[in-house]
Amino acid sequence: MTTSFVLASAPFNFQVNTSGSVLYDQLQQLYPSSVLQSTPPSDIVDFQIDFKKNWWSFSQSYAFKLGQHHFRMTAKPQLLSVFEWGLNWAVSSYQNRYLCIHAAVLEKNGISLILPAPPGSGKSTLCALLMLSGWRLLSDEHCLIDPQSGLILPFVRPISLKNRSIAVLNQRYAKNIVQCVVPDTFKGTIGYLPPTAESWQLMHQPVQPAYVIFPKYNANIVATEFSGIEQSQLFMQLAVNCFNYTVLAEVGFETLGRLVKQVVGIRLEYADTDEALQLIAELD
Amino acid sequence: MTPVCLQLLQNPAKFIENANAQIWTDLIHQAREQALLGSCYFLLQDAGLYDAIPDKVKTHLYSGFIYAQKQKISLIKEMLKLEPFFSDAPYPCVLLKGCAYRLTELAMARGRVFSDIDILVPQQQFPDALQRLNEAGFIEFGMSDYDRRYYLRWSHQHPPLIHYLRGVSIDLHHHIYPVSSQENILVEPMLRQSIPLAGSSFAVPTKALMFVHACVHLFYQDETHKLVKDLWDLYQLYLDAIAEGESQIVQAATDLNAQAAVYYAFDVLEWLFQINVSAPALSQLKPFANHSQRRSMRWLLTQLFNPQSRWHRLAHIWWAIRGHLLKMGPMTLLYHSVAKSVEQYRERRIHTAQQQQQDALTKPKDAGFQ
Repeated sequence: MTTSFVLASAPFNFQVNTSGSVLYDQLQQLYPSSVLQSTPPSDIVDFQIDFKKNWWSFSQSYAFKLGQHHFRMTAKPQLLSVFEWGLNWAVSSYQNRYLCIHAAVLEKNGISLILPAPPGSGKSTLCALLMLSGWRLLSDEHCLIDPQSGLILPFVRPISLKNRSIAVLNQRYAKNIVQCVVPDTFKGTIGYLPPTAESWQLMHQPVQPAYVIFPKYNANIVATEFSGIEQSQLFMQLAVNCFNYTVLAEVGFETLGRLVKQVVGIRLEYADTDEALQLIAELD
Repeated sequence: MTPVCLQLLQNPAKFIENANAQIWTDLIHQAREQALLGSCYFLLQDAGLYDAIPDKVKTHLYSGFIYAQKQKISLIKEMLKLEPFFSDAPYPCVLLKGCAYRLTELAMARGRVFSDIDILVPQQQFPDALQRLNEAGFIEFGMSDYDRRYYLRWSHQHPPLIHYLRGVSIDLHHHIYPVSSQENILVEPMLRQSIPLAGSSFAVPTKALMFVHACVHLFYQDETHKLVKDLWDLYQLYLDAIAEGESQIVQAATDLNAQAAVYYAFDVLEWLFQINVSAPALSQLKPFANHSQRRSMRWLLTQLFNPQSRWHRLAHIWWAIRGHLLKMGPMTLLYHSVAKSVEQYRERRIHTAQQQQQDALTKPKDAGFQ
């Protein structure tokens, strides 16, 4: 049996066909009914996804496909995490309308934060903690910058948390605040934190870039580092964190150049999470 | 039923007038599948219709345009890097297909994407050209013994050569059609009549030969996944070639001994894009074509275009068998089908084991933490 549903996310929406209802049931825990819709799409769909078992295969694996473009096969227990990665793959591979930085984005009282960082630096954990302390989430993965307006567009999706960060969140807040925990993925154990109601409500509202913070959690550090970054360094560090900077060529260069002139760049290396959160809260 | 992507290419104004959300969704999907997003972008810009389409559609056509622009820059950079290695080659090095369209600055090359650089050299100089490409850093990567033998024995090109650092792929050809075929397509005119690119060691075919080559490529091929793109290429190349005279197309077809392919191409282009071919041109080509082949081409394309047709799946299989038969004949095809199936089974097992190993290596350090 095939289940069809629409993920009416913004600025991209997805139409999904999947075998059985396992994926849909899990997604219901993470997406509100205004976004996860079981009715046929009323709007134009950006990405049509098949995530089904191959009828000819004995392995019972699911294949994530965008048309004929294959992303990954997976067994049933890892269905949700491969689905979320698949959506990231579709957007980072096939859209070049926006400059896309691999970064989390949050906003509070009109002040926005871009948190770019390589995997393992604690970006998602910090992003989750900020969201739970009142910042609205625009994205945990994709900072989409419109080259025309220079604004950041929200692409609200659940925050993906890995391994130890799941325990950190569960200890700090309620047990099981992190949902749909998927063990044994190729990145280890993955869990998801649903965005707050405010994040979903404002999912169509772009923000002006203000701060770019490069976070790095380091348990061995004594004093927290919270220092400025020069524009030239900031440009280069953002460029290497972009998914499509080289594809956008001149447009990418101009967009990133404009962004760097608009924002304040900060390097944040911390062991004390509360102090880091306090330093960010004091930004204006 | 015509695919929506083809409908847009045939008549963009009418398409925009009638499109609803579902049709636009299908268009985005098909144009992405067929690698036609950038081509659709330019078609609508040229027709002054780009502002009449929904913003959501613009997002994807524009994405295709940006990607094609980037590929254009990469291609020019790559060709500049290749130049010194071929500057003293005492034989014609002819660029084919997408690379040739782009460097000839054909209007149809705008927004068009391609996967590799195709170079044709005379067969006697094939080893020399191969050595030059090796010296330039292009080498063979991870191909099974069977596939390698297939390329060298039956095809018209060397196994793909990939740059060891930049990942760019080059197909080095000694012919434009598989040598195992019973069709006697000739290659010499492609080399003899090529036009040197100003200031370059490379040359490109004449527009008429580009069109005839595309006819050969389309009508003897076995793949269906880029059919609309191939037909659109064919029509655009026809428009470029016909501007220099219909007689040149007929002459090029005669020179390559590809009259039948060009006759079938004219027939399909008349059907899909309402071109007008003169009676004398058709009468020169018709004796080489086969009436049942022409009819089966049209029937197959009609079924392939219509996913709702009960013959749709069969048409795919028929198209693949037909293309393979034209390329290699029945006995070779039988041998190839059995050998390839065994090979694919073995490869899949090895690939799965490698993937599992790789996944284990990419796990973060705290991955075992619960």
